[in-house]
Amino acid sequence: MPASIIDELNALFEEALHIEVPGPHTDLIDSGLLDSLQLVQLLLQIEERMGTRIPLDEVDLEDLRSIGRLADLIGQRT
Amino acid sequence: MSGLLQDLVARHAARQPEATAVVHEKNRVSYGDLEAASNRLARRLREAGVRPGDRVCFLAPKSTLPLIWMLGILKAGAIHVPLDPASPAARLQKIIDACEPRLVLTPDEPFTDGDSDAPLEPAARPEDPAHILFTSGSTGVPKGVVITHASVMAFVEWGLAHFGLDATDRVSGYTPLHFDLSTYDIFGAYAAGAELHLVPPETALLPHRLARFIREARLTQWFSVPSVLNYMAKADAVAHGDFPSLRRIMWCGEVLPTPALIHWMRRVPHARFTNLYGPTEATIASSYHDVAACPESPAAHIPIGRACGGEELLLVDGELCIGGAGLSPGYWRDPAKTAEAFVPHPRRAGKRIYRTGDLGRMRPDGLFELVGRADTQIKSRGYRIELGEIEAALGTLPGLRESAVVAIPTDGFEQWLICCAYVPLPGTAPAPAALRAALARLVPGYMLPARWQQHAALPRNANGKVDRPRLKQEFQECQQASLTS
Repeated sequence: MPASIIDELNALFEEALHIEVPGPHTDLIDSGLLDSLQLVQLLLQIEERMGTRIPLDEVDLEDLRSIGRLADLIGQRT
Repeated sequence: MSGLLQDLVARHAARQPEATAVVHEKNRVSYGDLEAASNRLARRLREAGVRPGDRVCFLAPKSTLPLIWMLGILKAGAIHVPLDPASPAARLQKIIDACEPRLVLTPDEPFTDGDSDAPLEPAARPEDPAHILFTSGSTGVPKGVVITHASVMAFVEWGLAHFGLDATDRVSGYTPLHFDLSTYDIFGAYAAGAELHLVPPETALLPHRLARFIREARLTQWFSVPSVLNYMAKADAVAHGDFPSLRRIMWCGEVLPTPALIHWMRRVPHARFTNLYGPTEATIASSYHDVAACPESPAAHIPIGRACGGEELLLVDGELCIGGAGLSPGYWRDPAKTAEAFVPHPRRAGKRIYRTGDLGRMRPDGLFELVGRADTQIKSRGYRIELGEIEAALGTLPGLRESAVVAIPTDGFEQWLICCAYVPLPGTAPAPAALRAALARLVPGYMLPARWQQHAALPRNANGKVDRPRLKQEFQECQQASLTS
């Protein structure tokens, strides 16, 4: 898991979505932290702040499960 | 037939026991099995001391188990109270305290180990409560809406006749069980002997996955809040001529934006589209409008139509009021709120009407239209939210001197954006994320503000009240600035 991407994602969740995520392995979906509204915001913010486009129609829910998984996905796409 | 909701299942269990009643992921429950399992449960509940009129709560993720519970509770003559598994414990506690259940069923204690499949004698009458559904209350305490067997049955019978639902149907079970629209999915399907396909909540997070679900389950009926349809339209998840089995699409709970409706009507031209309207207090829906042709203009206003069979829609000083078969007896143990909302019918002695708080008007063609709200209640993603409930919860957080919650309209699929302006106590500087996390322990996720603004003091009007219009304007300006940046 790329540490710098995780830091950036933590900041994004905190500042843009106002969501405190307990840790990089916290399940964002089962914990109810992410709903469809925040999910769309999240993808938008990742594109704006990190320059990585993750199209909604291509995304696999498993890649969004935790900050760690998201960081891996972004790492692969950049 | 005793006119009770559980009869709907018994009838099909006798006629077609092998037919599928409920599907959830790999799990299928037949009418025969549903009947037998709920009979066993009803007997176990009786042994555990459940008496007619008792409340029994249940708490479980959406699956076939809570559907068996629901039916078994009714068969024991008790009232079922579905609890939202996504709701914070503090809020669930308020609901449990209010309804004083004999039992709370959970997957750890499912009470499904009874050994006799034989049905119990009916222990309720049609005019008795079947369930209590809790909705947002402006003072911070959720309000329990009591719904009778007869009210649900009246809507189900109208729906069956109007929509032509039958045993070949495969209907969506999108709505969570603690939310009133699910009542029609469930009992409408049972009444028709149709298949109910529960939509896993995760599936609904991604519009393309949801579209695949509809395709693979070959659903014939979709019923949800409009935000889902809007979400799928915005994500372009529906292909031209998609969902060939889908015969009808219905929405209720808020306004479906006309551009999304046009999109759907062009993509799925073989389906029938119906706008339903009505609050929980009048059971599922009270009026309907079948959209006959695709609207020509995205600015066209879609009416809420005319009253469903057995219901009445009327305007009293511009406020939409509802009378008839769906009317709840009132709020659970709250005669004051009941008397405020359920008032005598202006023209029919001895009858009541429910004041919806929605403002409406009647068009020259006799169809009703929504105009707005008379209070601070909003609908976001179909959830009914009293901004006062959020403010009341914020008021209990340490570190805040005061706060105000306003909602601004958006063109996103969620329709409203909840915004919070707050003043921290001197010497503290709580971050929005920390406030949000603390608030999330008190109210469900859909009530959490998306925008936060720290103020040195809240703006006030000449009467000393918080100037909400000004706060709204400020949030709106911020929103526009962020969209154009």
